[in-house]
Amino acid sequence: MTSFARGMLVTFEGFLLVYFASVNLFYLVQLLLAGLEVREHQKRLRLDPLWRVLDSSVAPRITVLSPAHNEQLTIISSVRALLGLDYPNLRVVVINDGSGDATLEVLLQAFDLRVAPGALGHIDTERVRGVYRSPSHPHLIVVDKENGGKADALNAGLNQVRTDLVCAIDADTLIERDALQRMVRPFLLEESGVLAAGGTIRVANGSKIVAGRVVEAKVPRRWLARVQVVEYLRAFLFGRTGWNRMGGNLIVSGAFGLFKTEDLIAAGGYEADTVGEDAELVARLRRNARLEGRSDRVVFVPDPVAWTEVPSRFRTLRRQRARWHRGLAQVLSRHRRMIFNPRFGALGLVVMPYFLLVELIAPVIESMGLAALAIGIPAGFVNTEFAIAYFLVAYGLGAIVSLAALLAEEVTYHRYRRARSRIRLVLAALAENTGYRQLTVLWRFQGLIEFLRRREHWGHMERAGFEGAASTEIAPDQAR
Amino acid sequence: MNPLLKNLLLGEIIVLLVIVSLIAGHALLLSFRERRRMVPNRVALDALAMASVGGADARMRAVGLLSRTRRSLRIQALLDVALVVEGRARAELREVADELGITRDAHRLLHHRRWWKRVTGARVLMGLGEAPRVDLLDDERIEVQQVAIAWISEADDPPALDRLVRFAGAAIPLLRFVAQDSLLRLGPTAMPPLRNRLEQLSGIHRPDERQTVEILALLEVAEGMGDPELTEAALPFMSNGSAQVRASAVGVMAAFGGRKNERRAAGALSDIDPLVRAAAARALGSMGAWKNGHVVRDHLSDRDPLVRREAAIALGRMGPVGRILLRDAASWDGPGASLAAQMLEVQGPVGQVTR
Repeated sequence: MTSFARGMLVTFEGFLLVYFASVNLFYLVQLLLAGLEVREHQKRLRLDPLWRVLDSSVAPRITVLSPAHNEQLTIISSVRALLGLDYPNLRVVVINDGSGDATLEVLLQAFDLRVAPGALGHIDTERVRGVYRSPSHPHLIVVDKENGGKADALNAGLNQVRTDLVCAIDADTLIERDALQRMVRPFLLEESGVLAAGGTIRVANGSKIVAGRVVEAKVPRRWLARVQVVEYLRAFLFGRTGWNRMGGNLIVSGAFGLFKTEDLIAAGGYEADTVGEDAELVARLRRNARLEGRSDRVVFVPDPVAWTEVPSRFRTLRRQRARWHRGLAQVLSRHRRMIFNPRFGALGLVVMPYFLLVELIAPVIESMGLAALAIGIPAGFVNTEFAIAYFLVAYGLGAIVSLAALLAEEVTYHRYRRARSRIRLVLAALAENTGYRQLTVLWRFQGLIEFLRRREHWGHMERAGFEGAASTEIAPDQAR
Repeated sequence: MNPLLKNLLLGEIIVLLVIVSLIAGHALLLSFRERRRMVPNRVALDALAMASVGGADARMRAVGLLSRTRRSLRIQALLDVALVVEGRARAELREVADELGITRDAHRLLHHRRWWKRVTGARVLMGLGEAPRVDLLDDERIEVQQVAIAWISEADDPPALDRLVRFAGAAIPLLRFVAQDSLLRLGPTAMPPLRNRLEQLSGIHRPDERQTVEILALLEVAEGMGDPELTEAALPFMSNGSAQVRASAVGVMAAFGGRKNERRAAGALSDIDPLVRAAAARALGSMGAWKNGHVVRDHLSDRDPLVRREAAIALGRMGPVGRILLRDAASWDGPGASLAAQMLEVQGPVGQVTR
């Protein structure tokens, strides 16, 4: 090996170590800030009973938008669960996005739906075939439209909204009864206004579900789903909570987010031509607010919980992760002018650069590191000490961060009450960094390539219902 | 192995072990605490519940039992019971609290530098039925102000109620919401200060943003109360410069109903702003004002889609007359006809639509 090549390799090794050390240091700071945030939040909650919101006729009015595509198996229990949420001023709009199955028919039958006066029409969508209301459930509206994707369905639902706030969910999301009462708090607390709020998404696989509600949280039996429990806890309890103190969140999960209706309509609703429509919307809302000199606060609230079923098959998970990464790349590409732009404050100088340099680029750098090791060790180009240092910095600290997220869950919400569940989660957190993480790196890398090749489709969705056992693909969301 | 790497590895292993131990330790502590707390908590609640209805003996027993429990548990039990008792029972609770020193401590907490301590003090005193502390409305923390507003709504004190009404125009939505909610819970007691404030604000023809927020909040409360006194106080707002305010005032008319208010709402159908016309149609529908049905039917061909939609729904709520008018409109040309047909479909053969 020439001295030049060796020098290059040593430089690259040094760069890798510094990069991963910096990323993990950033995570540790985020962890610390998340701890402070959760502590403050818990204190507020203990002292502030929610009953006032629960039975007040002047509580902010909320419409829940639930887009449904081929959901005939689960739609009735989902809609019943939504209508049964503990919130006083609630409307539910279900959008049948051109389902090929009997989604509309089962809705028509179960809720005695009749054709009703149509949309108010703020935003262009695919053709709406009909709007239905139910005499027996006056707070329910069903919109039947031609297929246009999730974003288009949400826009069609948005055209029916007349309330102050709008909550976008996935049709297969199970929202806890009091989640909206908890989620509405940031909108009440802040004088300058909050653009959007996101809640925690938890993994429903393996949990006990009765009548559309998770009644006991359990750790999934399948390893692939179990490791995602750790991933979600880390992403929400530590990642997003930390962002509350570091310039606000860029992502409000498409599975459960609350927005100010007027901002959403003024922004033109969701963009239908992206697979990361939730992140794109938040970036656009924040950009608009900044340009208009308004507050661009996007808050994550840790205690409102929505449960979703995660993929338990590798193929489905691979597609999902590739799509998420493609979505992130699209968002960063569309809003590239905000990156490193001081005009956008913390969003431009901290949040967007982080998503570019860490979330988007990390798979490339990590893949290169893995490739360098795979080629370099057998060939004798890479010394063993570097290999150990790489694993310690890149994966050892990663395991610490995952375990810290489990600790945060334990001292705050402790949903997993059984000792066996806790042990399984600790083992999953330790094992996550050997095998699973490397796979997700490859899948995300694949997503980046798909973005560069301008691949646009969402991929095939497999659903079997919560009480069923097969895999389900959930909506885009960066679980990190 | 390189000593630096060795130390790094050792450090990571130690941190991992510490975190795992903390998780296990917390889990054990939690189950121990739950077992330990469950019984005393139930005993404390039972003792306080008995004391609130049982006289001197029960009170002494409660004091004896509670004095052996932790202070935080005592306070929590007291707050839980205070939430559901009133009158004589609350007075009994107060005596227990006095004897345990909770009342004295709560007064002291009101001046604590930590906001959560001030909140606890205010909640305890409110639960015990003490006179509200208006000075807490000026606290630097929203959390404390929020409790102070709720506390004021527990008392019948005119100057304090005037302050409460003013909070309906607070910049922070939470304070506005708590004030509105408190006024609604107060009911007739809140009427005089609410009416006075509406009368004061009615002179402002072109309200600024802050004033608009306050007017809208008060009109929303007035609508919730549906009292004729407030309807008269809201009347001047029907000619206000802000369309939002005019629309909201129409809502107040609808809340009380009656022929006079039907005529007022029908008049608002000719407003220049579609928001007001839509509110007027909605109001006439909710009042079931079938005598004005033909005016509403004419708005099925309004130039604004929102008004057309509200007119169709309103006719749907006007009983047989509305149905006849809808049938008539269904034979027209234009968007009003399809709306009318859809409404007839929603109603079914003889039903009536609800909103």
